[in-house]
Amino acid sequence: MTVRIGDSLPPRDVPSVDAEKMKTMAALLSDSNPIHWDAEAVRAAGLGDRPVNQGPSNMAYVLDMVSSWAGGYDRLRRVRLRFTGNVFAGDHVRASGTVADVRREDGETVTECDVRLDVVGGGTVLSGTATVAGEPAEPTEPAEPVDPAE
Amino acid sequence: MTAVAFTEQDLASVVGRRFPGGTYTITPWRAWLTNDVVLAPQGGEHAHPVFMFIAATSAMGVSWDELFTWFGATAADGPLFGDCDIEINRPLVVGGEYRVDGFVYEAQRKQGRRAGVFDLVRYQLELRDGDGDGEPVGVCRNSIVFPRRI
Repeated sequence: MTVRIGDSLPPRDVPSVDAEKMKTMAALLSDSNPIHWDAEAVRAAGLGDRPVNQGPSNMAYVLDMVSSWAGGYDRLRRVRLRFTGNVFAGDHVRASGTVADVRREDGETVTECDVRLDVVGGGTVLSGTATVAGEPAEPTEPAEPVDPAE
Repeated sequence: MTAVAFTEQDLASVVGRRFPGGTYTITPWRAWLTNDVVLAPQGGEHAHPVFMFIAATSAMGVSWDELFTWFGATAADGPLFGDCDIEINRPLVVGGEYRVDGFVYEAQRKQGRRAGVFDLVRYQLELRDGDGDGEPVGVCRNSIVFPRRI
């Protein structure tokens, strides 16, 4: 499968981030911060009135988007992400990526992607790069052709 | 937000401090619940790559609240995730037990135009197979931003 710089990875949408799942994640992380389950605590923190999704969950949406395109969790080699905003219960988020570099290393294809997580209708909450090895399992969408006159 | 009784000298003194460390097992129930929370497909030999972060921080040997006290802060001061850099040398497996070790490798006081004074702290956690020997399965480098009040 040919991958070209600028191609888009298949995006991954979470149409409505579920507050109930934040409670489970709080337990899994032993995260005692009540902004993840108590609307009153969210208000007290000046963050509105909807529980705040955990950063690792936001990161996981991006990791899944890249891994499913690449062909599995074992394809992921490195991920660098910067947290730049919050995701709240009920938000529609979209993980997406574009191919930034393709090279050969030790006999295998290594693809570097720019990745991000956006709140649909809002801002970017997570951005960075992901590096995967091997031929990806799913096709990419070619980049929009650039008009050389522009 | 913490009044800056925590000086730059205090901050510098934390660099190099090692985490007590510990072990973390990706039990099938943890794997299942985590995949459920982040809407990832169930099943398979490999654990979700977000476990690089979850396992590392769960077995670093201190709670988040304890870690914040290293920097003269509490959760009420509003510490924020800065960024996360995960190198994956081998995929994590469901049922795997991992040894976690790490240390604080950078801490700087900064001033932003909008953010005001804050401390940027970087720490590294390494995951190794259960016996703790050999090359790391993965390395997780995270940063925390501590807002400060002068």
